[in-house]
Amino acid sequence: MSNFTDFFSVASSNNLIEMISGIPDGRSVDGISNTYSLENVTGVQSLSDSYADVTGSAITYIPLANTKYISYEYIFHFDPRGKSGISHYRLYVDSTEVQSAYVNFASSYGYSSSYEYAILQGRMRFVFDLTAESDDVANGKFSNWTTGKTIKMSARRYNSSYSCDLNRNHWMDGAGITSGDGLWTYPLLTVTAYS
Amino acid sequence: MANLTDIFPAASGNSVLEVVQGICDGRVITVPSGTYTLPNVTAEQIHNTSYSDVTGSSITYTPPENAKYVLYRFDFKWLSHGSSGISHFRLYLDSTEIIPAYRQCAGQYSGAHTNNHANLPMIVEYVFDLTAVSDDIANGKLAGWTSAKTIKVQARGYNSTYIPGAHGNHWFDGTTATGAREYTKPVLNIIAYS
Repeated sequence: MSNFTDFFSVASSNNLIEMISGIPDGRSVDGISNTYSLENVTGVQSLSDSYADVTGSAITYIPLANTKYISYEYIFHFDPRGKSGISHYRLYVDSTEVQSAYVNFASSYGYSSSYEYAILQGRMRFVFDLTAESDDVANGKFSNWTTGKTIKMSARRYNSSYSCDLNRNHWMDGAGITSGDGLWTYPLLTVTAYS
Repeated sequence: MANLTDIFPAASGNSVLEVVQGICDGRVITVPSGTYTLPNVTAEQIHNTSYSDVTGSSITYTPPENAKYVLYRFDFKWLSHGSSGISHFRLYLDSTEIIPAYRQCAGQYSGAHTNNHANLPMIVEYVFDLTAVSDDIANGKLAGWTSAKTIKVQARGYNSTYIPGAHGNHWFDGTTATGAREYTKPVLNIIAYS
């Protein structure tokens, strides 16, 4: 006689609960219990001397039961258009900055401040801890995250000498590019929940 | 009458056995294979011309049963403190270097070794193959991995002109970074696959 489990195997389990990942082109991504609408990035975003939301970086996420950790990752292009393009990136949950996620990126600049050829990848990465005894949002720790909270980035440049564009490509196929489909590249947003 | 699968659904599965992932802030993570305490990074680390452990990169890990592959990924901030900051990164399993995992990072500098502005994201990662017939640890191949082994990254600068740093931020809001803004804690990741 066969064993029951020959036909219905015992489920393997791990601590990965769900992964929401997509290009922010306005698409909807189905999670296990909720559907998430990603923002719609439509081109280059130039940074100014004041913080502005990074288009494409926002997602209002509702953790599933038993979620202990939420990983947020936003991968993007940045083009230092002036000198080294020093730029500053903050992460927010709703209206509170997660200060420990702050990061700055920069290229270097070439001889006599020319040859500003660098096109680089930027990445905001953080893992929220939902097992804390009390909220410490500045350090990404939560005691009771059960409803939708909006995670997003904001960014600015150092000053007007260090201009910086997000999503931009500078060259294509051995030539400069100033317009057309190759001018910019979509970022990638991924949220992963673990137990 | 109900179908049997209404009561006992066919098992769903995937090849991910477990994920250990977190900010290196000293947090304790419990997964199927055990409980792991991540390192606590509390400052920037400036490297010199000798190899030293990169803070936050070390974890002593025992994969779960049936693990065939173990991905290690150390995701951190890199910056230059001198010229282009040419820097070298080695990955170790216990005391053996994983040679194919070696990588270097560098920015650029202007004519007089100045304007060493490079501040970039950096990853050191490797996928260990646990299905090998015999150990070839220098290439990340193991004939099983059933006890605790320590994975870590070491780094150094090219020479004293090209000094790099890990975790640091040079700037904040249009001026020099100070206090808690001077560094960003890295993210340490382990994924075990069957």
